[in-house]
Amino acid sequence: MRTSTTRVAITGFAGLDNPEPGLATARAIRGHWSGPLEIEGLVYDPWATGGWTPGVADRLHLIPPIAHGDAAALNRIQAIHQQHPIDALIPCLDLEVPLYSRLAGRLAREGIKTLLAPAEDIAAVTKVNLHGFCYSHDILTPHTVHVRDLSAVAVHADHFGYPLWIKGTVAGAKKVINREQALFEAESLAARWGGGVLLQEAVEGSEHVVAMVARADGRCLAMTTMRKIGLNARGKGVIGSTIDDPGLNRLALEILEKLHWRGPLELEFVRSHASGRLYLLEVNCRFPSWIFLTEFAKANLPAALLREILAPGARAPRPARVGVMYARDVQEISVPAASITSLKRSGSALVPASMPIRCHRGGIAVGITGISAFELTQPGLGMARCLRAAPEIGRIIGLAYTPNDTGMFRRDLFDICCRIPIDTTPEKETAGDGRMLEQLVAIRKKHGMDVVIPNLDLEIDRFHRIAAELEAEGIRTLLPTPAARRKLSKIGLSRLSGQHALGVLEFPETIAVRNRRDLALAYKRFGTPMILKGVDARAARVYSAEQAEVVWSRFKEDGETTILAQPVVFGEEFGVGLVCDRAGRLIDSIPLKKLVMCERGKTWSAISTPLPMVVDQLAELMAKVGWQGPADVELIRDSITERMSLIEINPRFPAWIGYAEMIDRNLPRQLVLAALDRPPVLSTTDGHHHQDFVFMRTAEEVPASAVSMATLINRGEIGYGKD
Amino acid sequence: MMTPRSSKSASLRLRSRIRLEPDAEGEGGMLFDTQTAMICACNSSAWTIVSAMRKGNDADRLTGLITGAYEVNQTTARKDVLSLVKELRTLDMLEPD
Repeated sequence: MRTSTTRVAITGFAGLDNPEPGLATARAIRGHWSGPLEIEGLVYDPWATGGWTPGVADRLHLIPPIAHGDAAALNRIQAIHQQHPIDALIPCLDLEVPLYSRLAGRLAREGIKTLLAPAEDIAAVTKVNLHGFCYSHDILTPHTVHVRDLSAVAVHADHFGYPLWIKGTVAGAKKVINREQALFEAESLAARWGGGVLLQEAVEGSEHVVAMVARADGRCLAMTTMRKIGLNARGKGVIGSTIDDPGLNRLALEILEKLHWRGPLELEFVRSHASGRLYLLEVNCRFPSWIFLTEFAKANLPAALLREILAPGARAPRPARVGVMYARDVQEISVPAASITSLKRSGSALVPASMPIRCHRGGIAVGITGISAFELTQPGLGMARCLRAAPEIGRIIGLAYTPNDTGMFRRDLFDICCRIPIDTTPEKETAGDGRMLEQLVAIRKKHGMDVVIPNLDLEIDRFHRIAAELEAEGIRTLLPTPAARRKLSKIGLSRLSGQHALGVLEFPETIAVRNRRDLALAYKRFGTPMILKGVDARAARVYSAEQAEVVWSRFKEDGETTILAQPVVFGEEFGVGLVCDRAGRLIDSIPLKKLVMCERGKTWSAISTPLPMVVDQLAELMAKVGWQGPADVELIRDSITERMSLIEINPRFPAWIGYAEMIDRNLPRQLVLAALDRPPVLSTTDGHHHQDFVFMRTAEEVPASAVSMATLINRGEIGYGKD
Repeated sequence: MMTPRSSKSASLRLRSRIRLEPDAEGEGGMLFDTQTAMICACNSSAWTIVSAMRKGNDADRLTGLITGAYEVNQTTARKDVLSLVKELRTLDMLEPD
């Protein structure tokens, strides 16, 4: 064990729902290192939410954008080094590895060690050059063309045939099934990453990834192979398992020999379903974001890298245990606003320690749906966090639809997870209702369940239909009625706006688009950007008539019968989470300002802010329609008129509801009490306290297990032995 | 001339890379392919069959195990065994004949 403090600087803490690898790398080193360790997190802005994860980085430091060049980066690292000496630097982003590789000699003279491949070797295998590298080294890879001029995308795409992948030159990839989609995605990826796009043959198969560390002489120090088991709609491996595939291992080592590599490396492959052959998809010059899996598998690659940087010739870690799994879930934290201000002002800040969830064990058992972060973060995860802190609540039962629901692996949040049936086909509505009722009653009989809270838009109608039967069986719930929902739906709000019934709130002008003619009319009226929305969920911004056509067609193909068009309202975005009692009276609410949103428009950072006029207006509106239960209200303050536009009202809590526990405004607790017709509890904190803490969310790998997944399938439940 | 052997008489053996992991209550479990990470969840009767396939067994003996352990007639048991064998072959979890 080391006695002197090891000091390592790590980058790559941003990325939100598509996390950069820095947090996982830092967590792995923190989790394994024997001896004193200090981690300096290097971030490009204060909103790199992973950097604020308690117990990982000790401090965060702002560094200049890569575009400012080598000298700016070196100067900043030197300045940080003077204040907080650094022994080793591990860059975790594709674009910065060549930069730090170029600076390696100068950093070494300062006493900062690195282990990075030479910039020219990295350049040889970038996405743009990989096809040529593979050709010259006889490595199988999907046929790929780099199209610099976007006007040529259609020709090349048609020549490839569909489906095919459109890839950004640095990151990002979308599978497309026709020319229109190819053009749409090419425009958006090229705008983001520059340099045109790559068109790549779609090889259907399973995805396998190899993470490696190469010593300075190019030999392999350590490697772990992983197969993506659960891929979300964006093709990201949310669940994965270590494997032992001798053929893949051999191929990876052969490729490593040809790369003349040193340092961390990721090789991505697809094994063709048709031929069984492995195609090399990507070579990345850093660890993958799932690298924390190697800590679960007792073969910690980031720690091995750090040991090798500090003392070359270090002992290799043991081979990874096979069949070890991870699931990518989320962690939600509150960060003192003062810390963020400090980072912005001085360029450095301490990362505050964690505030553990205060767990109570009351007598009420609550079932919660929507407990997954597999696609989007669902509200059930934050709700469970809140109920853990509620003194009246005892058992929390996670209600999962599939073994991919990531909340299933959160034993810190749930006492037990039970499977509930999926059936969303309208023609089988009654049968589906019956199965759900039967399952919930069975869960109550076996485990006790006093209240059930559905957290997904698509379930609200079903739970409302069976609410009376549930109550007869002793399970209470509190949900808005279909009539109230209709009145405050997007179409309903548009009507209310027309009747000037929204008071201080505005609602964007809305056109229902039933056909192409309506779409053309909407485009003519609103210009760009315009927003297209489904009645219940989904929305997309479009910037041209062609994009509008592609999005409209996609929505139609996906079964949206009514599509709405609105002009985009420019301004800061706000949200209000609220809960009403059975009489439609507002019990409590949390208004907040959204600070950071992911690509899909979901809130990953926010701060409580008083909006008294808005809340009063919402209370009036809710009372008027007799709204019962939770709501998620989305608003935008027009940057020119300063008027607040109501964007939509959803019939469940927002996904950021975990923040309620952090600022002592526990709305889920109020909802459970209201569902049981108990009086609400009064908040013990004042409004100023709420504004001291910023909500942040990070993606984080948690241990998963195939046995748990099998148990959920076979037995319909998994317990965590807390009884 | 070689004739392909049917699952009925052939020795049915799980590949050595297949790991059997019982679930918490030990009445079912899952098969995990350590090379491909393929997972096959097994209820208690399927678990009885795959456990007996670890060292190799033929379909008749596997059918006997099911009729001995569960209240099921031979025809149904054989059908279940052959159905599971077919699924395991699709997942490439059985040694070739």
